[in-house]
Amino acid sequence: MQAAERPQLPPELLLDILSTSSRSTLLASSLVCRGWRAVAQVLLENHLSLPTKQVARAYVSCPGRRSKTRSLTVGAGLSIDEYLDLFDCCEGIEELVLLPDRSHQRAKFDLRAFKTPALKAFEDLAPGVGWNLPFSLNYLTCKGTYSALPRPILAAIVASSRSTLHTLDLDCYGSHTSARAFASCFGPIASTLRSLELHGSAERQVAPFLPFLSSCTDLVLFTCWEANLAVLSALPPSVEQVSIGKNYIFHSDVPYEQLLLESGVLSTVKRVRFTGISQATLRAQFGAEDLLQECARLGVEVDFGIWVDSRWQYSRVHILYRYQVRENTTAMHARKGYNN
Amino acid sequence: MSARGEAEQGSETNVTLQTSDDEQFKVDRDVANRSVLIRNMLEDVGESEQAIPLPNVSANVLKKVLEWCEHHKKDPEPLAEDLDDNRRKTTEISDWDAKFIQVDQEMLFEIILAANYLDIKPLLDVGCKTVANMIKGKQPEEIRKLFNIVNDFTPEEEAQIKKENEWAEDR
Repeated sequence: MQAAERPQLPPELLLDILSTSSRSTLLASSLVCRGWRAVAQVLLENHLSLPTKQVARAYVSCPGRRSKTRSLTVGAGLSIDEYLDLFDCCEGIEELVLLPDRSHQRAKFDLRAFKTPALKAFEDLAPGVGWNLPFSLNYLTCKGTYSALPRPILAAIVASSRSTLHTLDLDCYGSHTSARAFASCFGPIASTLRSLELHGSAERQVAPFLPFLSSCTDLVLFTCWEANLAVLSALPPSVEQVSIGKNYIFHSDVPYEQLLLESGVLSTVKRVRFTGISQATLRAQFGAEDLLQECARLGVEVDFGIWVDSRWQYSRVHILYRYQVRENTTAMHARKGYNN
Repeated sequence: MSARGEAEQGSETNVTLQTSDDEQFKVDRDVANRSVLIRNMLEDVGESEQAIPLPNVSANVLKKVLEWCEHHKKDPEPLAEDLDDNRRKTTEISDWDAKFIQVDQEMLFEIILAANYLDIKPLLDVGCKTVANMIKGKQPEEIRKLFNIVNDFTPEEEAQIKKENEWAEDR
């Protein structure tokens, strides 16, 4: 309640005021008065970040909690029952980010958690199909959660979001023992996925994801931080834009020219984006001029992205097509000794 | 009733605004057009000598709002996506706006309410960001004192809220 002699700010304006506030300010605001609490609580829970098991458990432990959460970031390492309890609290999530549990250096899923009644009943079903989660995502990120996230939970998330989940951001660094099963969880959305980020630093890391990648028949945007031939060769022809990030470790091993020409990507895409790679860096690489000429010949747009104001900003390079670069890829590569 | 403002030659470039306390302000149309509400009203009535009534804004507040509109009359229209997204991401205020908004708290709130009513989003942003900066890093009691707000929680309710929001505390 506010004193009568002062003009009062209606809730929608208080919402505007608090929308730029930090979490600590929102926490303080929630304790000012009932009016402020209602607004601050909405903002606190709209973008919910529960990066460790402890924080997630503290959140769920409040009886009867129901929040309107648009995006949820949660660490791995919870049990199946804990994930289900958490999802029950957060109705209407559109964006879900699954991260490794930051409270441990090595986040591993505790196998004892599988021995819950929920899983026992679930074992007879196809993974995840039996659970109705109270949301349908349009964006899902899984970072370093291979072995730390119960697969049935992942399958349930995908099953509940089949009609809306069009953007997926996966990384496949680290352990590979469960990678194929992890990748198979995404099968139900392969044919409707529009945008995919798939990050791995070696072909053996991304190999389990390639069947899934090839089956993404409506995929339009594809991003990989570290491009390799296996991934680019597996792209479906529907892909219109390929974004390649700077490959810190391997970029000198396989030139971008070889990656893009040998994979056949240039014959199908409309745009190639080099993210974090300057034009000068590219041009210093073996075969780069041929690559740019080939892009020009095929009408493929080439963008270079730099990190400005917390996001990638791209500028387009206009390449003057000067000569016929390629009679055919094999002959050219033979000349350059790629096939040796 | 008194006529204020700079009376310009040529009525087609001037607009008369009438406040809740029956004062009239004659202002340049470019200035008045910073308000989406007034712009729409002017489009609806077409060419007219009639004063535009603003029953929710008093003269002293409108005078201040018009000062802002005059200074910003040549600003480009904000893009739709900026209105919904980018404008809220920062708490930065230009030097002129920061000086402009150095008013007592009652006037600050009145300007915010007027900007909201008149649909002047950039001015509303200046006001909201100013209040946001005032509460930044403050404790609940400090915020109450700052805005003269009465704590209407019982001690039990306050304890319950603290418990419910334990997850959000830095750890």
